[in-house]
Amino acid sequence: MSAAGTEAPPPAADEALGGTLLAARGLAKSFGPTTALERASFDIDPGEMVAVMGASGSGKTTLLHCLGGIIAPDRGWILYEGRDLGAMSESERSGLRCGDFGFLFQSGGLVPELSCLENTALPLRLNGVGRRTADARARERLESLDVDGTAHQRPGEVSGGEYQRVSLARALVAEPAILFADEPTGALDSLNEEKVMRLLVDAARRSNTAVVLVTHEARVAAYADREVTVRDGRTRDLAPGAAG
Amino acid sequence: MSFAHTVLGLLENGPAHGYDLKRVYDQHFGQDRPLHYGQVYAALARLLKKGLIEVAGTEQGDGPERKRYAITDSGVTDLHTWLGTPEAPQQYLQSTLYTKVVLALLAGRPAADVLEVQRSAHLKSMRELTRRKTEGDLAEHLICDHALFHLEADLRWLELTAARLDELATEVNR
Amino acid sequence: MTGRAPPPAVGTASPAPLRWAREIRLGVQLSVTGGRDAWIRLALVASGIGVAVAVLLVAASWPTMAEARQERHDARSYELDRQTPESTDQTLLIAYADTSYHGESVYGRLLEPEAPGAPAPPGVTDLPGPGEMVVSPELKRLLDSPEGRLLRERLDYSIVGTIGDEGLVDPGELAYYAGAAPDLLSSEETGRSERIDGFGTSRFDFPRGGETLVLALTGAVVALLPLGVFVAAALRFGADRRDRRLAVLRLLGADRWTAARTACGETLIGALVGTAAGFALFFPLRGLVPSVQVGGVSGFAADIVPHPLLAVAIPIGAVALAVGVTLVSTARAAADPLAAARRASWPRRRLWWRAALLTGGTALLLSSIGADPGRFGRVPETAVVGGVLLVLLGAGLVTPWLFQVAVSRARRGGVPWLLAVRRLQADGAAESRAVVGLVVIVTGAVALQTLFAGIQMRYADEEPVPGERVYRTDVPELPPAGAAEVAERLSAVPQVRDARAVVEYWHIEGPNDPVSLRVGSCSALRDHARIGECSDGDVFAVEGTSTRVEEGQRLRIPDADGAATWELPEVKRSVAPRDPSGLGEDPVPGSVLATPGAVAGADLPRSGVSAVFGLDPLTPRAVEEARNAVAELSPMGTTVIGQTSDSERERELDRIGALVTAGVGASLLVVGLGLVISAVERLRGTKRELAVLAASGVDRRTLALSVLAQATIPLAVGLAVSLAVGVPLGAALLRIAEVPVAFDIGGIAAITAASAAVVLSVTVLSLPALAKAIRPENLRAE
Ligand SMILES: Nc1ncnc2c1ncn2[C@@H]1O[C@H](COP(=O)(O)OP(=O)(O)O)[C@@H](O)[C@H]1O
Ligand SMILES: [Mg+2]
Repeated sequence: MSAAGTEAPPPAADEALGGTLLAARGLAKSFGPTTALERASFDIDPGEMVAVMGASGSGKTTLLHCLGGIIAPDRGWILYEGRDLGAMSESERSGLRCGDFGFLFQSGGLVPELSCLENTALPLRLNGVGRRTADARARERLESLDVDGTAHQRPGEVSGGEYQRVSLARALVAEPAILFADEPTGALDSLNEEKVMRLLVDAARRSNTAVVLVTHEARVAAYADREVTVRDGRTRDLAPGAAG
Repeated sequence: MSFAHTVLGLLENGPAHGYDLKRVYDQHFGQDRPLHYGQVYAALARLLKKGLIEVAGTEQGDGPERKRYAITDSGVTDLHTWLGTPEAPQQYLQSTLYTKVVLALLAGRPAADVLEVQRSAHLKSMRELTRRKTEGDLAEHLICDHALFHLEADLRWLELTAARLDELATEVNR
Repeated sequence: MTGRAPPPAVGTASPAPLRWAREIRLGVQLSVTGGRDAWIRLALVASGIGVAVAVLLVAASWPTMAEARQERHDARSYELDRQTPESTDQTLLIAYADTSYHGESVYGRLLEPEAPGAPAPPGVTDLPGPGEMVVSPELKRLLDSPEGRLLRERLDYSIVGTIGDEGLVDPGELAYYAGAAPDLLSSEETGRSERIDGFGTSRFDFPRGGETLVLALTGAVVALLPLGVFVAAALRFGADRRDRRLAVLRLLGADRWTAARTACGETLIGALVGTAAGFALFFPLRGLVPSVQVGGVSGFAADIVPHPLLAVAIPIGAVALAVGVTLVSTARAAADPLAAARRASWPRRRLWWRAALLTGGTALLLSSIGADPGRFGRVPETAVVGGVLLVLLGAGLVTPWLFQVAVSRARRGGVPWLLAVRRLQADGAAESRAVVGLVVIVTGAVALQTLFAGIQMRYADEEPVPGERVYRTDVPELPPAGAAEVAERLSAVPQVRDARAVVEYWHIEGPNDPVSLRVGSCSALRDHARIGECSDGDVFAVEGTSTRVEEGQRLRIPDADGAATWELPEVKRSVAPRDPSGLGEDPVPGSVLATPGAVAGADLPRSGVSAVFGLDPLTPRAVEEARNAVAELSPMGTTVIGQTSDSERERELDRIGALVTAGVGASLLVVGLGLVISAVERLRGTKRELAVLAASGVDRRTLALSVLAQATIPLAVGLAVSLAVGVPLGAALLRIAEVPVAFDIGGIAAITAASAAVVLSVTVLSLPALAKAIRPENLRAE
């Protein structure tokens, strides 16, 4: 990740962007000839839930991947709690993703050979939590999402809604500061969509987890506190008063 | 006519006083704004005149005299017909918003802004409805969902129109 | 349109065979138009089957090759038990003149035609004249090279020609025919030379090659196990996608058999290409055979012709097997298209019949241990071979069960371990197959290595110490004074110590029974008996013989021209016999030892001289120099080491050992390749899940470690079983052969190290696929 370019360098940690948890400015990312992001900006406060909307192909996923430290933008900077993601090593970013960030994707992502419980306990065990403790906490998480019945089933054996709830359990089990969700209900019917979204909102609110919610559906975006719209790789903040 | 039909539907459960009707209506449908008592009596009067309901008796309480209304056979038939008839879908060509967009394009104003402002407003009210539905009971939930799906449909139209503004502009200005 | 019209359903319009052909063709098309994966699978399957077919063809040629060798051997032999023909214008005198050079044996014959019409041995056009020789190409190469200098000195003839292929057993043979010095052979009548009127012996009609064939094929099948594993893994490559393709076909309305036939079409092309490649590979391989010696035996390329029946059966078998495997492996997808995507767990494996095989084999072997075959007695071969096969098979089959148990019991351990174990548990079919192949091969190898270690230890015990008098030479046709001459000539070689020789006369006609006579100096006679005080002119009788030897007896010593007679003088005393070189010679009935002075007046005929000596320092070169010294005395002299020519036996053992090592190496390699394929396939199949894990902060090291564990577990289980079964198996074989049990720790360590190397390589080779699988692109929905 390079902070060089036309954008100003990231501000020093102490000159703080207010209480902002994660801030990004001037993000740009191209894949060969395709420009996926171009001067995108983003802010999120602790416990805030921001929907990222936009047509398919507008660059939402790319933005989420950049913000989550999964890929490095070509230009621009990202500060998480005052730390510059671009200045971190790959393993530091890995550690960050493992501990402070949680991820929820449209589908897949659970290790097919592990039971739902083992899947859920995975992030804890990666963070060095013992097996027993990890299992107990994972089970609690599954219970709170009303899928503790699937604990000993394989991901291939549960329904789509249950699958996403187990994925949600795994994303939240390590109590991340930010949850990145990319079209988390894209593959679900309305009823399951609602179930998953309500559980997501509840859980996030209870643990004061900030949520970056990428979606192209207004119904899903309506769960958020505000929207950011991506159009042709540029962000537009729709929140009244904050519009740029 | 639909409000009168709502009153008729409520009476199908059994005879009721006008005041009872208002209370039950508010409980089920009155979230947005409570009903005026007068509206209820206006509707009841119209229904009486059409013979769809009748006065089933008068009660003398400590207050004023209260009439009890009951549904008639033709009232039941009418209610049945109403429930079985689909609502005529609103023709979007006649919608105000379409009119606004076309007017903006004709006048050379930024039509995209019209849509954007509208989208923002839609999203705002959707957020509000979502908040209400997550806090409310099942009835509230269902009602909010209904509104949400409608708003979402509008929103889709807004997005689609925004994507086709150029096309529309050439057509309108031809 | 009369009668009922057939419904216009797809595929019912044409007759079945035509329709099937079309379905198979569809499969063929799918297999070559399926993109890079399809091509990779095609290449893998074809190369696996190709190598297997080529190896099988070579194996199937084994009997032909052995037969051809035997035929050539017979063609150059001559009848020994036949009445010697009269000397005519068609007879040839021939004498045995084999020698050894640095452990290689050299086939040699001295020839002396008695007339121009004398027969020539096969491969020789013109008989070499006196002082000339014809040699095999390999011997010529050796004689021309610096390493052959000492042999050149020994075979001091001028080379006048080459022996043709038809006169050689195999292309690597060292052989010569030399023209004997005039009168060397004709003067001799006591067995060193023969008069023949033609070459070639007729053999008893052995049952032709049946057993050899079975043995060769068994060996080939065992050798092919890893290849089978490899092909099975290759067939699985891209299997996910193929299963999905089949499922689509099924959902489109194809019935299960149609789907199966289409799948067969996909495999068929690989199998056919592989078979063709196998035949194509066979020919260069065939050209290679003369230069490699398989177990010390090689053959001419022309001899390597597969048994006709097998040449037909092998390709058919290969194709049938590939198709069969496909049918079995696609049965689920074809039968239940909707379930194709879901991963089901394994069927439970049963232990009892697997264990029964192992137990049965063990019982057979144990019963053979009790059989006490005696040193040269027959080992109960059927029981041993059957027992070994049962044990190997049992070990192979018990392993998947153990593997399953090991994997499902493993609960503890970190995340990489958990991921690996669960993955193997969910679908370890490929790994389990790999383990079976590995176990059979490695168990056999460990057993063989243990066997070798024992045998080698035994020979190591018998290695002579420098100066020990364990070398012995026999020189034919020398006068009684020749003994001193031989001893003197040998002593002239710098490293020879204590060379002493006696002239030996066998089958002397005494008054009662035949007796034997040895004439030599007092010190030489001491080699043969504890004679105590001795001076020239003494005669001793050897104790413990049933035939009495007494003063005054007349002994008749047969000769070319009648017989010499010798009256026994005063016999000094009866003495205890000694075995000169520890050769375990049986005491000769009625043996007389005489000093030269005692026989001076007897005019004894020429006879063979036997000398015993030691070497110090003991070097291979000294052995060759001693042989040269003997050859100077007579071209028919032989020098042998103590009991046997050790270096030759060791060389043979080394060669078999190297073969086993190469076999284990090759099978580990092939099994490793199979593991790489299934690991890569697995990584590609779960790339979305892996990408999500990586995005969620699971670092690459954890994932790489899980790939490592995934390769380690099957190999570790396999190796553990191999050692646990192979070592006792080798020990049991040693017990059966009555050789003290010893273990080849080095060999076992080497196999373990090689397996570890394979595990590491599998992991390293899977890393690029892992890196590819965890790319963020894979997070996007397909
Ligand atoms: N790895 C990639 N390689 C090539 N093009 C990509 C890649 N990732 C994204 N893109 C392109 O970037 C653009 C934005 O993609 P994306 O961020 O996935 O949009 P969205 O999530 O809003 O649908 C698209 O045009 C897409 O094709
Ligand atoms: Mg996307």
